Amino acid sequence: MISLDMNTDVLAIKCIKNYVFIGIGCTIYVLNNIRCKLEIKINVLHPDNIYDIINKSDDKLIVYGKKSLCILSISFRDDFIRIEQIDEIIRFDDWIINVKWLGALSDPTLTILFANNNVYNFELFSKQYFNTHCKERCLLYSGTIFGQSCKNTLIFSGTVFQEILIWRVMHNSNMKFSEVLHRLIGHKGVIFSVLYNPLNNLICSTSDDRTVRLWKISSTLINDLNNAVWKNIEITLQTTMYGHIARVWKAIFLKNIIASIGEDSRICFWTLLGVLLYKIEAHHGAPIWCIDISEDNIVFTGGGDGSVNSWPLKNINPLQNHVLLEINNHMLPKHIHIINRIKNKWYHIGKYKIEDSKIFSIKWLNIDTILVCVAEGHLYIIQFLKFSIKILSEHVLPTSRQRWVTSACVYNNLLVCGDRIGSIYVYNLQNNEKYPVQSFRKIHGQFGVQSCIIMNCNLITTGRDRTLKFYKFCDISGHNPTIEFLHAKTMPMDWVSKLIKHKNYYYVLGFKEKEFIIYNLSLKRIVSKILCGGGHRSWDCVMYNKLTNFAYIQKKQVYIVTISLDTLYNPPLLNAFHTKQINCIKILHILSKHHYILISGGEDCTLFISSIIPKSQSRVKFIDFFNGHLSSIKCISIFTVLIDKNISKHLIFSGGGRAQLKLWEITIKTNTANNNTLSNENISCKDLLSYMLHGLDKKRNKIWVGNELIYNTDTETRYMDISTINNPQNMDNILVFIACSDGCLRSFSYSIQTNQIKLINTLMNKNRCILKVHITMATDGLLNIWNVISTNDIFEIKNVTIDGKHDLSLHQSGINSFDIKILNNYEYILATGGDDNLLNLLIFKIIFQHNEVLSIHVVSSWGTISIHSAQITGIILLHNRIISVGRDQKLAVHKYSYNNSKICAMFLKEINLCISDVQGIILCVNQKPNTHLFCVYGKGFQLLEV
Amino acid sequence: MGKTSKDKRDIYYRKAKEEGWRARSAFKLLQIDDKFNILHGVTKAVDLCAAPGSWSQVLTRRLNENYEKLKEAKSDCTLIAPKIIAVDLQAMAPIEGVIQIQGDITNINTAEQIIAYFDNEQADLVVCDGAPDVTGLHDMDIYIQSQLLLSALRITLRILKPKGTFVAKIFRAKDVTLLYSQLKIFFTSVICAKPLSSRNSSFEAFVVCRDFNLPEDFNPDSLDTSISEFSKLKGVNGYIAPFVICGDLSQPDSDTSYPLDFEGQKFEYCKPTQSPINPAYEEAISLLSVINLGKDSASCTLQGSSMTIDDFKSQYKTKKRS
Ligand SMILES: C[S@@+](CC[C@H](N)C(=O)[O-])C[C@H]1O[C@@H](n2cnc3c(N)ncnc32)[C@H](O)[C@@H]1O
Repeated sequence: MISLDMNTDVLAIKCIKNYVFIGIGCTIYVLNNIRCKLEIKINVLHPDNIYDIINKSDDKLIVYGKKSLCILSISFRDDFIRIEQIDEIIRFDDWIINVKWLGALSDPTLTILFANNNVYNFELFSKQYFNTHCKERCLLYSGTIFGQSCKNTLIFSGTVFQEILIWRVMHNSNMKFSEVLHRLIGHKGVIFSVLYNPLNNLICSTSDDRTVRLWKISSTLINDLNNAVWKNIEITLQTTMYGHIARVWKAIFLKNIIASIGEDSRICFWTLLGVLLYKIEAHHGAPIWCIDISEDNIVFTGGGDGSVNSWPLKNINPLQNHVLLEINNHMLPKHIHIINRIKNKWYHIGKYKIEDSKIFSIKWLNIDTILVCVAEGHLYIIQFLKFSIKILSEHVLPTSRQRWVTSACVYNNLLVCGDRIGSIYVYNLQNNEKYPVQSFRKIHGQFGVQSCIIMNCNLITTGRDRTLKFYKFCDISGHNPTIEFLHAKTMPMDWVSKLIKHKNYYYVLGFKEKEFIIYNLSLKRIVSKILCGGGHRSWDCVMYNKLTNFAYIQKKQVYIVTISLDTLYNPPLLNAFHTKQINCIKILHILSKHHYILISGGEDCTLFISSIIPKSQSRVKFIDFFNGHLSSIKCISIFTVLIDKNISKHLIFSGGGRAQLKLWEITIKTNTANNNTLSNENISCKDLLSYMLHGLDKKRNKIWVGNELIYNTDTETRYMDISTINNPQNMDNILVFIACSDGCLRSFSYSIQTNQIKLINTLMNKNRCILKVHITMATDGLLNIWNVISTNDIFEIKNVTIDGKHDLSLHQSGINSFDIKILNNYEYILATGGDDNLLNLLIFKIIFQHNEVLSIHVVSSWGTISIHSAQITGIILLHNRIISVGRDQKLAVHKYSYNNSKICAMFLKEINLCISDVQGIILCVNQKPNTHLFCVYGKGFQLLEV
Repeated sequence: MGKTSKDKRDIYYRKAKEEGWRARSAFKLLQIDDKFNILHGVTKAVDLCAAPGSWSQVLTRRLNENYEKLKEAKSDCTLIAPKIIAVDLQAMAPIEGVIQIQGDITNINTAEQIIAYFDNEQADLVVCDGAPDVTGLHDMDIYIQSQLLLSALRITLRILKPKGTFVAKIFRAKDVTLLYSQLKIFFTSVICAKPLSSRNSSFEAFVVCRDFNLPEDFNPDSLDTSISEFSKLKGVNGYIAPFVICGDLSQPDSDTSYPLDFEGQKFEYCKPTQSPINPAYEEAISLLSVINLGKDSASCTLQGSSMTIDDFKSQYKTKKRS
């Protein structure tokens, strides 16, 4: 078995020289900080995850996690780094909290602090150790070892019960336990980290109570502190800092600054006096687990979204601000003034009146054309000539309460306008048509469209509904050009105002509350926030080279803020994936030998498209992601509409919480893709529809009591699984079956042509949550088989009896996974995995009776409960093998055979997995004979070759 | 998300409030008892990791019934009233007849305190519903949970009467078989039970250990140094405890979404029976409304060891007013 790639929580980061060492799962990545290039990737702790990486000078690395530890030797030569694992992994009986190599390199003794508040002085060669126990015998969550040699070592340990204990490691003593020297009391919850900085004599701790605390060691004997006067010194709480809105995992000292990281995805920077300098939201809402700083002052963080980000330490000076001019204007504008700049001077060229009405807005369409909007929705396209203007065409904006254009652009013969009430209108300029040929009413909600932009031959509109909307042009050079809506993306701001491209990156500009936000769309990261009073002002923003200029009007004054882009962010070292657990992954089949496409959905409500490139070093590449689900995505079904060498088209049905079903169309152009990369230019995704069983919240059936909303009667149904088939009677029609948590099996019919979905059948199956559909399986461990009859006017679902009964009891409780294969004409093999640890195999036969009634006969079955010790969540049936994975983080392989109507299976081997909370496994087709490429997912994913 | 969304998602949450239990966990103990009769005849019990206290509520109710029955049968005045000791890190609202200790069960001092309460007597039953406030790092959560279970076992070995019962939460995850094997050293029967009120998707289950029997050559004091000593006890290697579902199918299932007017009953919103007392995050939360801590510029710094959060708030308010 080879573990090929992995993405899960990043728990460890260490900067040494120009390199960043990252611990993700059991793998160490070494990246060159300057070139941002992956140099080395090795599995060192399999199957345990790396919790920390510690260096001993520049020669050795101690890598540990859970109960295991290993030593690596590193060597740097010019532009080159080498890593070697020196010894086998050392496995202990208890959880490792902290490790230090305190002596000289020639004295390989490690000091290891364990979670039961004891310390080993551990000889690396002989594996002999001396154990010291603290007198306070309790469980720790955190702790740190401090000392100059292993003969003189202090321990700071953080308990479950609010205290920090300071005690000393003993040597050859005959005392049983080491006394507690100090007890720091003040925190209100579990201590998640504690750190001692001898340079300033501060102890810094973080906790469940969401505070960072600094404790001052007051002593006149500062220089002596290392020498056992610890008992007599005094330690007092100096400052308590609140800045995080969730648990604070860790804090580190960066010279004279403290940086703390937390579950709230924020980094807070503090002075040593406890003053907050600034905060950064760093990992898209996922917790931040680790942080380190490089010699050149770049902060690196690793998070629960599997990404590693870097942040130049900001200089704390406020942003530069200029006041430019003051304006004072009380008149309604009725004229257009044209000003031109010739040789650095501005000239007033002319003043024109279009209509005797107030001018509501003017939008640039081109270098010499503008769109003018006057009263009653009259629009004029005007071109500037040398000494006059020319009206090119006139149009009319459909009526609304606030009838004016807020944005516009032209592409070939199409004019696209957005208005104040959030609608987009498309005009055909070719035939001089006055009225729109297409309209998207209120597509941006009621607060208005902010901009229309053409980018890479696509249309993008932004609005005050927090979204960017993407469209493509159809038949653009033909007679009836139109636009087609593709999908939307939600941005971290209320008003999305503009999208610009600057040096390979896309930036989204907009406003949130009182701030102007610059967001890097490519990196999914807020680059800067500028306090400007809010979004209703006039403003502009340009980027050139490394500078960004933002100008705005506030209190009748013009301000300009200049920021330097590269001091604000660096690109991430590793890219982010799902921020929470992945619930499902499906493979999208394309005719390409070089990559596979994965579609994944999870608790973070986001749909990701990624590709696997089996032949490259980092095999998984994230291509794009899509929002639109209001709650978690629990299931995906893919229906391929078209597939050939050049292009393929697929329908993706995704379902989940709040009884929401979404449908996407993904088109992949394989012909233009070169062998190694498949980028988002080759893939387009269209958001076809969203269907909510109970309608949107606002429309739902609410019951009010007084002024208070009490409840609506609908059930909070979750969609657990989806299965789709083509209606054999009608190729345009797809039947969609959904397993629902309210015990119903719902059937929908979707028409490709009209893009409409209809609920056609609700089968109240049982009072139990249905987990899987294909055949149905529920939390009661029962299997049901259904026969679907669908002709033009009849749709019927009938229970098929299994040996004369309605259902078959396979498991004691939930059936969490299954796979099914056809063996021959009438016989099927079904493998199921349950909540009850049971792995089951079943051979059944379909019997057709003369009056066309179907029934099922079970031919043979086999089961085992001794392989998995927890829920089995994924199963794959291969030609003669069964692969199963479970929450016990195990992958098991069985060989099965079916002879003389008897099924039987034999255990072959098992593999420990690195990722936790395993939710399933999928098979990615592999070219190599006898090996298969699998992807196991849960909290992250792991790619394995078995 | 309305006030009722949790009611909708979770039928047991709703039922707990309606029936006056402090937590939905009550049903887990009730369902385990339905299957294994663990509360039968019990008059002395220890409830470890008890807050907010729904298991203690179940225990008081059932132990008092047992006591009444015994009284009727024997009419003997030497009978001692039931004894329940409840322990948790968190403060717990009082329950009549329950002795409470606030402390860490992994700490040997807390263990000694519990043992001291029993003072040569022995318990009929020890239960432990301990779980960490999950960090999201599964390995770590699973490890901490296993340490809670072993800490509970360490206490149990000192105070449980021979043939007594021990019931504890367990995470069915990696390395769970090692725990089963260790438990099997002390109990004739070790079963992994999952009440219907635990979610299908959760890895939580309960070990029901019956027929306690301390091996002759075993000295429980040897574990006082550290729970990690348990790892030296290997027992039956890789033992997988039989898995049993508790609660019959007529009872609701925690994964199923039920309408609010389920079973024809009219739904009425109930307030939670008991909200947490002094949780760790209380002070930080109280700042939210004063300075909106979630904002980029918001923070609060207390200087020295005597300044309190209330001092900060009043300073902040005077500053704002002027
Ligand atoms: C699921 S709750 C128990 C619910 C309880 N059985 C009831 O029915 O109300 C888990 C409890 O374990 C407690 N706990 C976690 N770690 C602990 C420790 N080290 N010592 C004592 N209690 C602990 C938590 O404070 C929490 O109240």
